Amino acid sequence: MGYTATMATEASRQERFAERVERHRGIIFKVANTYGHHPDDRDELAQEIAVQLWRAFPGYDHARPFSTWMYRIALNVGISHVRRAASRHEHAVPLDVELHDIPDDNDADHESDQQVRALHRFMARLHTLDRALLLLYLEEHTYREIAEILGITETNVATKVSRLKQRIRSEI
Amino acid sequence: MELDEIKMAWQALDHKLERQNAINFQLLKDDGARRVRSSLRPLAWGQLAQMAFGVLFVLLAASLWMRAGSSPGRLPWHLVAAGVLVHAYGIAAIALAGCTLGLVRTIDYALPVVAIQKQLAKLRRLYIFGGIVAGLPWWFMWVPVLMVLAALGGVDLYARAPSLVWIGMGVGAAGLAGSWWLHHWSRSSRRPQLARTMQDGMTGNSLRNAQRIADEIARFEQE
Repeated sequence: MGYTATMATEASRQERFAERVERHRGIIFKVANTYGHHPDDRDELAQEIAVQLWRAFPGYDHARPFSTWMYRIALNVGISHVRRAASRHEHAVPLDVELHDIPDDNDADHESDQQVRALHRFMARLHTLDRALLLLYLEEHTYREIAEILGITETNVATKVSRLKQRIRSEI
Repeated sequence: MELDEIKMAWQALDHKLERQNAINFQLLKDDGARRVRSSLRPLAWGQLAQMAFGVLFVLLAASLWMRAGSSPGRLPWHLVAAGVLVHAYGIAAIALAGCTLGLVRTIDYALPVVAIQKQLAKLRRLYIFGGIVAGLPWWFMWVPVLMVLAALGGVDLYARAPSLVWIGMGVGAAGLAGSWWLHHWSRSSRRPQLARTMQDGMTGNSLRNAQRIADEIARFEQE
């Protein structure tokens, strides 16, 4: 009887988890595409993020926004993934920009594809933490949310965003 | 190009990415997460092995103390020194592995990114430092270990062959100095190939990398 109850609770937990992650699955893909080096690497990273989310889910505080919790985990896993790869190769592994190209049948999207490609090239040159900040900014998070996810002050976020804007203006 | 211009293009990525990616939720079911290797798990196993290694040395030293307690004569100073060294090495190995394992347990990826990356950088430094502390003393450590093992077999190695002990210590000192010199010599810009090979084989580079990451996080936090 106890075993059946435990299984039912577990199934319900899995269901709640899958439902919430499905709703915010874009976070996983964007982080994996920002920190993965090539398609296989990105798939592996997306799966690793999903596993870490699943592991951390029992400790999730339901009073706090799910997306903030998810971003923290996804970014931590992404950054650690890059650092592990870099220490394995003893040098920073740049993003494979060509493999980040996402073909689209619609020609109207060509310009935006070019912009995203240029942005990916720029992101590949950034430190892992700056990359996280830029990703959150592009996702239209407020400075307060970015500060909460990264664990720095709002003033620091504002300063960094302003510097990134200047760099983008001159480098892209 | 302005950052805000790119925002729109970036957000249009959403549906394309969704089309191309899929998460295998099945892998998470039936406790499938256990099948996916945690990046910190090999580290934890390594530390458990180091703890077991440390316990072995503590037991070795404890056997010497017990034997000394049950025998009528006092233990000669050189055996006391050898026993203390073996005991201290065992305790240091256990303590460092324990600290590393304790830190592994506190890693919670749901905490803010900078806090966790700082913790991971600290863990990396502690791990590398532990490796150096556990490995480098072996230039010398084999001498007291041999002395304690011989004493447990009823042989006073120092009394029988003092030259072996002194030569062993001399070789240890030379080896340690040689390691230090080779490490510095190989890092000269005139020998890039050798420098790379040495960096691959020694922990010095890992330690530098760990320090670089810690500095990068500190800069990000302060700027």
